[in-house]
Amino acid sequence: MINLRYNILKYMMFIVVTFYAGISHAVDDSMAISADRTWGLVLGDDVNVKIDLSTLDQGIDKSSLPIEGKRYGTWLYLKTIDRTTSQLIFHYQIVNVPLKNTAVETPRIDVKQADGQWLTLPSMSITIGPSLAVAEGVENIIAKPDIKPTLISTDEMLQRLEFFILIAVVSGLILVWWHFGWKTKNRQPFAQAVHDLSRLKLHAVTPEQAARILHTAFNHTAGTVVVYGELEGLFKQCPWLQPLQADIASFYTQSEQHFFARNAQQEPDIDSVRKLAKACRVKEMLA
Amino acid sequence: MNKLYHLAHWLLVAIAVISIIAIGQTGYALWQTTKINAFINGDVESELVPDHAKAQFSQAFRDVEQGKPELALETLTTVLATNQAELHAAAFFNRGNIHLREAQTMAAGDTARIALVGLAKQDYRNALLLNSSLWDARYNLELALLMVPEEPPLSQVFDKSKGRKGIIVNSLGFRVDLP
Repeated sequence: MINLRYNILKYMMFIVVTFYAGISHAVDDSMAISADRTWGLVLGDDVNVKIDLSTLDQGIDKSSLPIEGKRYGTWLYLKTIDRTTSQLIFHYQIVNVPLKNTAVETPRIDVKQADGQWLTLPSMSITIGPSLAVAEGVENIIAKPDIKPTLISTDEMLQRLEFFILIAVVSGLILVWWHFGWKTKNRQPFAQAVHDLSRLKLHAVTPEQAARILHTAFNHTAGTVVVYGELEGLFKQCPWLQPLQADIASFYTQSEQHFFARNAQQEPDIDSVRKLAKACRVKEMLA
Repeated sequence: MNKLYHLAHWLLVAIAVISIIAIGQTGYALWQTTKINAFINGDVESELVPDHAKAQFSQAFRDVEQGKPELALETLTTVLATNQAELHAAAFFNRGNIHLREAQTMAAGDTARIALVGLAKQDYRNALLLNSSLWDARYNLELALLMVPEEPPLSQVFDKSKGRKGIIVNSLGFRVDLP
């Protein structure tokens, strides 16, 4: 009795194991396999083999996929694998060539499903052929020469340089126009004064000349001759000059003492005149 | 309003200054590139190779022309270590050519020839992996394969089955005491 039970159990186990092994080793024919080209392939060609996984219930375990960047078999090198839920794409490159057109099989790859079951992905036949004629012998074939060095392209740099020059010129012109006006007659009084003073900087300029230039600017701004006693009128007319009230008053005091006193006092300081002209120009510009 | 004018003024000044700095930098880069291009063209005879992958590549090309393949190999290997990826395929190809030319000078049965052709094949394959449209590399690889073919094995002896674990052999150390 025990012997009978043992025999039944043994045969059952054998059937189960055989069945399981049969399933696990079988190539799953339900999966469609295709390649972008299966014939006329030569050395160096890329072959993309697509395997349709939509018929599988379980996904593929990523860790069971073959290693990328490795040669498989005699003919093919597996560059990369693209994996989506519905398909696997094996990007191969042909790295070896037979002497005549030969049909070769893509590698059969075993992969594991998410439930742990192994399955063998189908393979397909592709035809590889030589592109060199060897009728006259290998020794008569001349190798292709070295690749010659090429120059570094400067086009992009030149374009960039032109662009920056254009920007600098345009912004510079705008700044010049802003500060000095487009035409002399359109220039604002203090702009003209700064311009004249900076021009005179190159030549010998007396403090008197500098002071006169600035006085002219004040007169033009006010529309009348401004004298020391009427500064209040100037500030009422041009309130934007009020922040410089103290400096302007000091300048007029000094001028009065120099130009109108019986005994001429110390001459106005050129630097302070220039400084005041610039400060007035800034206020004028923003007025 | 004053603030806006003020801001616009300084923005304009900043743009002008930045563009002038950029002109300086680009002008300097252009000058450097022109110098390197003069070296590549061979217009400048200099012992010192500029620190640019293209200049080194051109030096290697010149070394080959002057019959100094060892120097060229070294330089091309240096080029491959740079980050100028667009030159890598060309460097692999030229390196493969150096190996192939040397192999072609040897007798057919020479083992060194097989090794050199093997190196050439590896370089051509690397070039093709980077740029599969490099037709000269395909041509020369095929030529190398004709010189030393890689035949498919008659039978696949080794077949790694799925789920099978490798056999691990442990060698245990033991001490033998003196009697």
